[in-house]
Amino acid sequence: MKAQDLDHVLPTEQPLAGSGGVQIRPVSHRDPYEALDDLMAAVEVLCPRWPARGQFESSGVWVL
Amino acid sequence: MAALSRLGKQLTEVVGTLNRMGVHFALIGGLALATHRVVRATQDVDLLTDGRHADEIDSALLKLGYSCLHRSGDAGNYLRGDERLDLLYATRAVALGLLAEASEVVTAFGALHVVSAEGLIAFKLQGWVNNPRRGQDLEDIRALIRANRATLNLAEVREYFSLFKRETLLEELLNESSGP
Repeated sequence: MKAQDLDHVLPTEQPLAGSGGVQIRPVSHRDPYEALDDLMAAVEVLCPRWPARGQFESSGVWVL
Repeated sequence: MAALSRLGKQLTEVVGTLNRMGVHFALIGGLALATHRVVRATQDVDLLTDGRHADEIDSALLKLGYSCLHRSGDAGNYLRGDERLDLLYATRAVALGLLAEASEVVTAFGALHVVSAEGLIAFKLQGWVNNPRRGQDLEDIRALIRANRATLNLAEVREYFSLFKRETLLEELLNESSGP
């Protein structure tokens, strides 16, 4: 198919290029914890050992 | 469904132990975000528990192989290998209320109690106030507001920001979330 043949197929508006992006909320009925578990399984392959993290501050503001 | 990730297995084990003990607890931190439409990677399990059970929980965690890195009346940090478990102890009215009102959610890891989006924002704010270098807490607040703006109880959220004298910050975050 030639480029000029695509003119009637392509939308005239180009939201991704024209406004720098559109917000589209993904529709999913999947359990978010299942999605998180999948995500973490992948992350853990890439980072098999977690770096050390800090402890809570005893002297902090605890009002809750 | 059995957890695939190490974090999921860690959570399942801890949840099972606390449930068998009859201890009331709720998810907070990065894991709780998933209930409120924000899914991101997280390294540790964060739980809100009734402070009156802190000693029992401590004994149970030591039996599971955790060591206690730090413990105060407000919080405890536990570590097993590189697996981290952080506990906030509910002792004051606000946290006890949030714990009591935590809703039960059926998840891939079983039935879990999770604090409300408003409560999660409050704990994230407390974490950020105590350590402003933890930019992730502020990013999480931003994401929670953006994802739940239509349903958030803003009066409640305003109360929490007032507790920490960060009312201006909240207005900035709300303005950001209502932008294009």
